[in-house]
Amino acid sequence: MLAIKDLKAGYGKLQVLYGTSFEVREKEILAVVGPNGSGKSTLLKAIFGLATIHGGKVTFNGEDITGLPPHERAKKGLAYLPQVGNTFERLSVYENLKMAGYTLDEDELKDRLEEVLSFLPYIVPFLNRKVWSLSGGERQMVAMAMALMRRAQILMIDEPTAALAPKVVSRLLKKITELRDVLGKGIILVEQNAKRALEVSDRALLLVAGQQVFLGSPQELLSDPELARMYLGVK
Amino acid sequence: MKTMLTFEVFLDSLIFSNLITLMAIGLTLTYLTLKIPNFAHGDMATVGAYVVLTISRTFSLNPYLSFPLAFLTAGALSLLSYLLVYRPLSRRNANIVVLMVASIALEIIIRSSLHVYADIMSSVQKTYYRGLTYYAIKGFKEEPLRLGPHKVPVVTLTSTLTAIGITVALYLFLTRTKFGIAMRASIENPNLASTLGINVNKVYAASWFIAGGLAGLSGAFLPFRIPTSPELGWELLLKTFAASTLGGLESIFGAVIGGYAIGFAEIMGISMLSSPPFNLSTSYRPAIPIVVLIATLLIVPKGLTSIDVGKLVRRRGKSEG
Repeated sequence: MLAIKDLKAGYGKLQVLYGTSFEVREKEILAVVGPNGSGKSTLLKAIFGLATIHGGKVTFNGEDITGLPPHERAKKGLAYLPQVGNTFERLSVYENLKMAGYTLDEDELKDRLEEVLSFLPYIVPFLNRKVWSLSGGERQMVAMAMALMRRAQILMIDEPTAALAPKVVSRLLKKITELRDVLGKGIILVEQNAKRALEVSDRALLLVAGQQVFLGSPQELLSDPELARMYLGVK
Repeated sequence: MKTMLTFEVFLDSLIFSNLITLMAIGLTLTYLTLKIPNFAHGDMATVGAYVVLTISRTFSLNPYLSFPLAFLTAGALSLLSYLLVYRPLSRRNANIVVLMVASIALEIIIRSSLHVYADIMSSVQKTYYRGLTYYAIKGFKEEPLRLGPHKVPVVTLTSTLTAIGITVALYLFLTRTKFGIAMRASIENPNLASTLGINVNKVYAASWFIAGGLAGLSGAFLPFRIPTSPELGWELLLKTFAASTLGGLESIFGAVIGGYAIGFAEIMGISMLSSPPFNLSTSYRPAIPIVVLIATLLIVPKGLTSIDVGKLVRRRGKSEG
């Protein structure tokens, strides 16, 4: 579905990523892990068209989308959920969902809302609350619901569990696995908490200083004592 | 001691506040989109005033009939300024200082053009096109309404109904319509809005049109009370800035609160200060909104809308309990 080939990217002239290649299919979670500053978030931004591409290719469903602006990529079925700024804080939850379905007609919007709320019933009680008044975990749920409103095929989620309580982290990661298992979405999950991310993922990509160090199964990565100890903090 | 806060002063304050509020709503809208203090905003009001004056004088019509045209003309001019000046500059990553200087330049161009226009009209209609009110229009007369012993100018009622109507309509537009919600979304986070398929440029263009239109509408009311002059809007600009800033600059409903606070403070304030025991000159009048603004911001730096009323009530309840 989504294929990345030798992607080099950064911000203006500053290069952060030095060539990474992988594929993400439907019903799959790819965990992107690595130390701080390794280019994990830049990778997501580059795929979504928010960073400068220095080389390589991004293909989605067989189409080269490397040069497309972000909104065109969104229309094609890619969703990017940044760590912050992924919702409209001054709008209510309901208004956020309505904006996520901006291009839909009224009937379609209603159907999608029902569909999304049945998958994420937690947000129903605070549909009329402004997003700024929600907790971090609730906001992530709203961001996820917005991506689902657009029926995105691939969701790229950047550090969704940052600064959340352990109980909320578990609930959020469970929901992410349900996105894969129940709705069949392909997910790229960038996480600082490598251990938790690897527990729920099907494959893992390890980035170190912008270089792709490992791509394979999470078990393989965790069983490599040197990589696990040096970059993932796993003893 | 005889108080100078009469019913007439209250009515004057109300009319003035209505007009400042309409202008402040527009100014806030333009600030919200591009984050620039738009110095050309006051001139949209002058354009509105001259559109109505010209049509009414030329065709001997009731001024109210051309109010929609004042809205459309000033709105169109504001839209053009966005499309031809501010948007291109913004796309070239011009900073706030550059945008502000551009708005000052545009203000000078529009105001100078209005002087040229007033001169041309003076020669065409053989009437000095400055210092006129609508009452100079042939056949136009407005009898004040009676409210007990008081005479209430019709413009008090029309401007109040317009200000209330516009505020309610804007509220419904921004909270009940898809495009209105998209406007709030685009103002808050244009990047996210564009990834959702919202045409942010279209939304901003609409904001500038509405903003200019509201200033034009406000200006259309002015010649009922103030003689026309190409300098009219420019003179009102500082008060409009004071109203928007007092409301918090980033809130349309704050602009409404700021508009009424500044309007009432200025008219009632000068009425009080020019009476015994103060006996100050009325030339101090322009200082009042600025003093009110500074005093308020010293206490509430983010404007009146940043006050958490619920918190204040809870704190008061606790201290009483």
